[in-house]
Amino acid sequence: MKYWFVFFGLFHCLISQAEDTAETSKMKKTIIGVKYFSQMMGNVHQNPSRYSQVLTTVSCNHPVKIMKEISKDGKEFVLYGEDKWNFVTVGPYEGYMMTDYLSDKKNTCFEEEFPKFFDGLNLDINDLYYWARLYDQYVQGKSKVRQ
Amino acid sequence: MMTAKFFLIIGSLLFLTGSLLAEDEVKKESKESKEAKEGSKDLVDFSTIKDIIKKDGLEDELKKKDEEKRKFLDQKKLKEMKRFNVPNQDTFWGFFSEYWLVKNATVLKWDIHKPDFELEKAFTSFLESQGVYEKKIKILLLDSAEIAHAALPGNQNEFIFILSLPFIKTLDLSKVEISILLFEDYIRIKKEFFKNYVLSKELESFLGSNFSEKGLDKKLIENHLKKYSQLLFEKGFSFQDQFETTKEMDVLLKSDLKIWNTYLTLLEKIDELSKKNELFKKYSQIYPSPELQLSWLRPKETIK
Repeated sequence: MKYWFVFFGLFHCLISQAEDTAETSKMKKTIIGVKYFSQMMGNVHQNPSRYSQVLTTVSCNHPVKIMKEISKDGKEFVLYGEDKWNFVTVGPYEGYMMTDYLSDKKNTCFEEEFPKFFDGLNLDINDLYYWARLYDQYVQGKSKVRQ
Repeated sequence: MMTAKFFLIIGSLLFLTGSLLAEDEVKKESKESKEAKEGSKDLVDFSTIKDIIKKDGLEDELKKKDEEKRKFLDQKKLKEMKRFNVPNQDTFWGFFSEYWLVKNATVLKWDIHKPDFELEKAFTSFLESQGVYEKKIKILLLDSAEIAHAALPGNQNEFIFILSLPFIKTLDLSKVEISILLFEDYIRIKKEFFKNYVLSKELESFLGSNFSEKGLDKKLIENHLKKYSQLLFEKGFSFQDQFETTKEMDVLLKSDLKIWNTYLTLLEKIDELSKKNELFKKYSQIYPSPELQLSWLRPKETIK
């Protein structure tokens, strides 16, 4: 009898979890604007975490569509994971990018400013992968303006 | 009568043929004269109409068009030349430090899953407490003991710090101790010991130049990469660099004795580690040496 209760409990948990997932996917998505990637290379992640699976990699000034999700009860979600991530659409991919790395205007990018010098370094796919990972791995901060 | 009629008909026929032929001749002549006239048109001497063109302003228009074309070509050439520009020192260091990190990713083992220590918050508030404002910091944790800690030159007001996880775990360092350690690296970078070591005369003249005619000197780039590695993996900083850094730390931290004492304790910990732990034997070679630093910091005992 006791095992039946445990089994029932687990089953209930699974059902409610599945409902939650379905609820998330049911959320209405709308584009709220376009931003530009501001670093050398960066990754679009499946979840709002630097260690989450990488869906695609973008380079400096790549435009990304910023999305807003609206739940059934009207709640709006723009920032995720301690407000550090944006939900974005890049080409066919929908994923998450760090907010700090997205800017409203186009940036001055190294590879655009010095294209031949950049090309001359002959960076291979492995280097570009690590460059994007570097921006996943950095912890960044800025000391305040003098009061 | 018949003969007269015959002759009349023949006569009129001849007259008609004659007049037709004459008309044809006239037409031929007028055509020839027309052609001659047209031919003479092709041979018009332009010098005669020069004044007219001048009056029309066509020559000025032609000059304007030529000037525009020349400017367009010059701009195109300049634009193409600009593509061969080499970054100047303001933009080069940040890029190159990251390039070195990318090239040494497997040795340094920074692409790892690690806990969020919130070091950036602790360090920025430490910088602010020391009166260092508006500085952007990037911290990269390494899963390697190859380099214990270091700061790499970044772009203007930007600093890249690398910090070994095994090092801070073995010493069981607090956030304040880590911040002091990073602050020491910050002082080294500020004093430009790193740049002075890796920046050769060739590189200095290469930065901010243009290589459209010479081609990119890849050897120079490779040598520069090697110098980064040489400094951080093998050679390290000089005694003079260390002395100046320690003295600066002494002056800056002494205003807060608690922090100054933490610095002293930190150096004692590192001194012990570098002497006893095989993994960090190289430490005193890179940062000579914690023992000396302690002797420079401790007040000298006076003999009574």
